[in-house]
Amino acid sequence: MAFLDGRTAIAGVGASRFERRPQASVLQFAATALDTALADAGLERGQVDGLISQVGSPRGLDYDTIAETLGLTPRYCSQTWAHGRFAATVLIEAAMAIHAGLATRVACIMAMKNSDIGRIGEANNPFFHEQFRENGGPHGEQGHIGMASPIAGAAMAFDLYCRRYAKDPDLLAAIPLTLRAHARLTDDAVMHKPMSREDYFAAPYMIEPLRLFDCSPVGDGAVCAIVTARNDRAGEVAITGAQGLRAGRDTFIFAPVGLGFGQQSTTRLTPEQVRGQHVYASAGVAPEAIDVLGAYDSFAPLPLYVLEDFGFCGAGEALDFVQDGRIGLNGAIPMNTSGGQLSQAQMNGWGQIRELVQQLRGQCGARQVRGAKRALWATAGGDALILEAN
Amino acid sequence: MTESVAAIDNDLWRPFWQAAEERRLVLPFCCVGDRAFWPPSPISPYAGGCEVEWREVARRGRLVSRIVTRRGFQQAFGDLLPYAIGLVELAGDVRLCAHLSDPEAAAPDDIVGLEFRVLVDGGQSVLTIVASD
Repeated sequence: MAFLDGRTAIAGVGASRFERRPQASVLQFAATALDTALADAGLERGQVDGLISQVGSPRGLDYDTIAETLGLTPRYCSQTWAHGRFAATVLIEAAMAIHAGLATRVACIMAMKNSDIGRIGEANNPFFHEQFRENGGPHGEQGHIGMASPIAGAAMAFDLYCRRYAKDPDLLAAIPLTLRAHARLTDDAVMHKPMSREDYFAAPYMIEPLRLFDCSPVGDGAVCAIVTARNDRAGEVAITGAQGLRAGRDTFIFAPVGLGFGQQSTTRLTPEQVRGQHVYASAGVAPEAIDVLGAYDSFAPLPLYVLEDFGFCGAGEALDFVQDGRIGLNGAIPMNTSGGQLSQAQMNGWGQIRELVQQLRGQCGARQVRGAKRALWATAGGDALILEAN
Repeated sequence: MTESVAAIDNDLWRPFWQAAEERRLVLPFCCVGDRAFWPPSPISPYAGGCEVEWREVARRGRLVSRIVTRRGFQQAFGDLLPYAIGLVELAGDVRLCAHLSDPEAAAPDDIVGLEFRVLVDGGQSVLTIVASD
């Protein structure tokens, strides 16, 4: 299946510390992530000839600043919208650039400092009044009716989901509790303290039905992944499957296909559509072949939709599926094994990409998933990658 | 830091806000099939669709979702906490978000009314949910 059949690979990953520290420079975060990723790949800065930045200003760094400040001289540069998701999209673009001969070693950098500008969606953020995007913000923001935070869009989609399937919203607790347990085994997790069920339910609602610990904390930091042609070098993780983001009237960033709000159909993907998605077809595998999962989790309900839309359980079943340890380290599908965005750090999914690479190399110590050979990273928005150990 | 609670009001949205001043609710319709749609678009989003026409619709629908804001994200709405945002399904399957000042005044599956009201000082009239009799 074309060029994403394992001919490109993630050769190295690196990251800064994850923290919430307004006095730090985002360039310091980016430099640390780049240098650790290059060292991990056995490369030097002068060998980087491609650069893709995932978050530009005002939250993060633009590609030109990265190159100028960190001493890179790439001949292929690109940058995405300053938002979450896009991790798979960036890595796919890097693979395409390599395949097209536009670059040979692409540094993919996500560097941002959210604490500079407050929580996204707060109306005191002069740079990110997303409510003023024409036809509503990307998360459904409509500030004039008091709906200015992305949490509102996630809460409304989850409320609709629970009503459609007659589920108790409190079942959601299993996700933040499981991910906090994973973060307890992760040295660089921002949210490292133990969290009991009592702690979770004692925390206040932000926007009901979502509580405080259903929302990822503000994160500052950087992650870098170096994409190259596959050289069968030790430590390489091949990109064997991929698919891009969906858009259209049946999609919403915080909902499975067909369950957003606004005027959309309410038709979910069929099991055949789920299993026939390009990410699986390109890798030549089914969901059962996935050993470890990275599910985009800015808000706790989002992994539910990944589990359903990528075939780990049926439509309407995910709140039951995530109970009883099934997403734990020894579960049916270990998910967000370093704590995810809910507990490790809100890094737009890049912390999960790094974790999956390290899982496939067997580098994760106490949280290592035994025998992990194939990983899926996916968002409710549809972008996804399959990574395989060399 | 700046904060505004103004809605987008431009050439595309003007029919909606002009009708709102008269307490009327209008939606854009595709002239093929007489189907309403949302959000507003200069062209019909439906396949084979053509001109767009704004038409008045009943300010009444079914509440399909309700979320309750308990933490303040906007200073202007701070005094109104807690308040709800409801999703109201109108005839033709268009679903609109609207403000519900008293979260307990209406529950999902209720048939509710919609009114344009000023919620905050200096704000404009915006879509709000009123419990149906």
